[in-house]
Amino acid sequence: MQQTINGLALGSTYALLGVGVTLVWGVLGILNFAHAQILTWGSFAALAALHLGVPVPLAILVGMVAAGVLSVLLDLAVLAPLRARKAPEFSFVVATIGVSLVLTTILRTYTDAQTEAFPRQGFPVGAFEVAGQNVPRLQVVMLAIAIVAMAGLAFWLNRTRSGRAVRAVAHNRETAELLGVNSQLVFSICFFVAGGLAAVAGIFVAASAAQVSYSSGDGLLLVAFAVIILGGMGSVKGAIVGGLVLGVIEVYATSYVSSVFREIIAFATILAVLVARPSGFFGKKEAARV
Amino acid sequence: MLVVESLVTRYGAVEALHGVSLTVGTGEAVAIVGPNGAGKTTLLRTISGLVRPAAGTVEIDGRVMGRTAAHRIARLGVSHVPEGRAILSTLTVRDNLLMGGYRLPGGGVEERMAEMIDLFPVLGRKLDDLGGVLSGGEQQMLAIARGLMAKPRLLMIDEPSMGLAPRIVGDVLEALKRVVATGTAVLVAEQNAGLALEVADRAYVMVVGDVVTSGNSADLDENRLLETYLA
Repeated sequence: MQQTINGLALGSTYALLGVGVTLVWGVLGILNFAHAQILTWGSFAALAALHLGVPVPLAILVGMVAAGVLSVLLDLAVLAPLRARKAPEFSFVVATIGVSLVLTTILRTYTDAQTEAFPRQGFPVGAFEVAGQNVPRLQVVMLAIAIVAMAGLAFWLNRTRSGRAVRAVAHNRETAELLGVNSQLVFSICFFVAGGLAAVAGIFVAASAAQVSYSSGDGLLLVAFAVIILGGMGSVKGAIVGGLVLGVIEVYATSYVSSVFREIIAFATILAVLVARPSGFFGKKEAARV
Repeated sequence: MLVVESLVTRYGAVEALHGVSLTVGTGEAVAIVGPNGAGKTTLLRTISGLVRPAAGTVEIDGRVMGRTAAHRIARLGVSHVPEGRAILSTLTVRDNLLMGGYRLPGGGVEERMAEMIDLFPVLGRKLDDLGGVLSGGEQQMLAIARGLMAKPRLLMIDEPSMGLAPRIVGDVLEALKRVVATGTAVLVAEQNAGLALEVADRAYVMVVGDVVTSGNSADLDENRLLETYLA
């Protein structure tokens, strides 16, 4: 039972990561390899705010806005010109890898490659007991934020006019334009939201570890991609479930096998799930008649 | 309401339109007919802003479009139903229609959707189906209804009969006649000259990027058009 709680606690981090990535990759179909760096920059922006004495909720907001703006700038300066030239998907991958290297280098230089302490004052700390099991407070808050973010995204995408416009742009940008949708504005909004969510994940990961460095996000990107694939491309609910399942698998693997095999077992399980269900837990096959 | 003057469009070094001129008046139904490769699709894509013209002008209600983005041209009351219908296959029929009404101000979208269902009753029975699972004819009806959702003053339709069985083409023809009867100006690009001339008051005949002849539909008989295509 305790291992399951620990797994869900780890999974809440992954779920929060996955929700941010699913909007840009799962819905718009853009594989953004700079997402981890945007997450890290958001964490550093929040850290700078905390150093200035800004209260935690406001510092999180500062981190979100900074990461959101950075994410929009990445889209406007690098990805929009590629879209205008109808560049192949490979170009987007290479371009975002390039941007991630630039962002990493700037942050590494700025921090002298040192790990910075991330203050935990103001964040929920410790654990509370439920039926004799310890439940960490910080992770409960992270899971709650992930679920709220999921519900908000799902409502926005499925129940609002602008959410429908996002799905229309994701399906066919030209058609969406012909229907009066400003597709560049849609991209900017999506990148802003994804950047903001990345920052929230980054800030809570930093608070959990009580430290942050220029490379904090590196290991998380692969996890985020795995979460999206496991949950189902484009499914917001799938990002949460995928994150929690991955967290539980990793903790079980560490506890009952060995921490050495943690990632091997986790990714082998994902592979097995995908063999049985190629579109993930909640992914839908596209229905089309030609 | 639409005036196209000496329009030239290029794809790289290839010139697809060599100075095309045409007009569509308010509430008028006009056809562009011609064989495959005549430039009909390029002409519609240039008018709707998907392709930038190299020279010439497109005027909508006296406003020169120049390099205006497609979504802005759509908001001026021009709906373009592209070749292949471009149904949003992962969205339901209802969501496709709601997207058609995206540029409608505030309320009135549900009311307009009810009008579209009156016009195309088959859609009313399939509102919760995904657009991608409709038959070709139903998709064409949906594409036209979606184009009409925003109450356009000009509806441009590219190859409405493409890939459809003859019986379904008849249904599409009837649907187009109903649209024309509502007073919406229609510009239809079609290889099937018979269908186009039945819908339109006037027609332009295009061959390899040029308008080679034009006139009232009643004066342009199909056999003469066929000779023009093959000339």
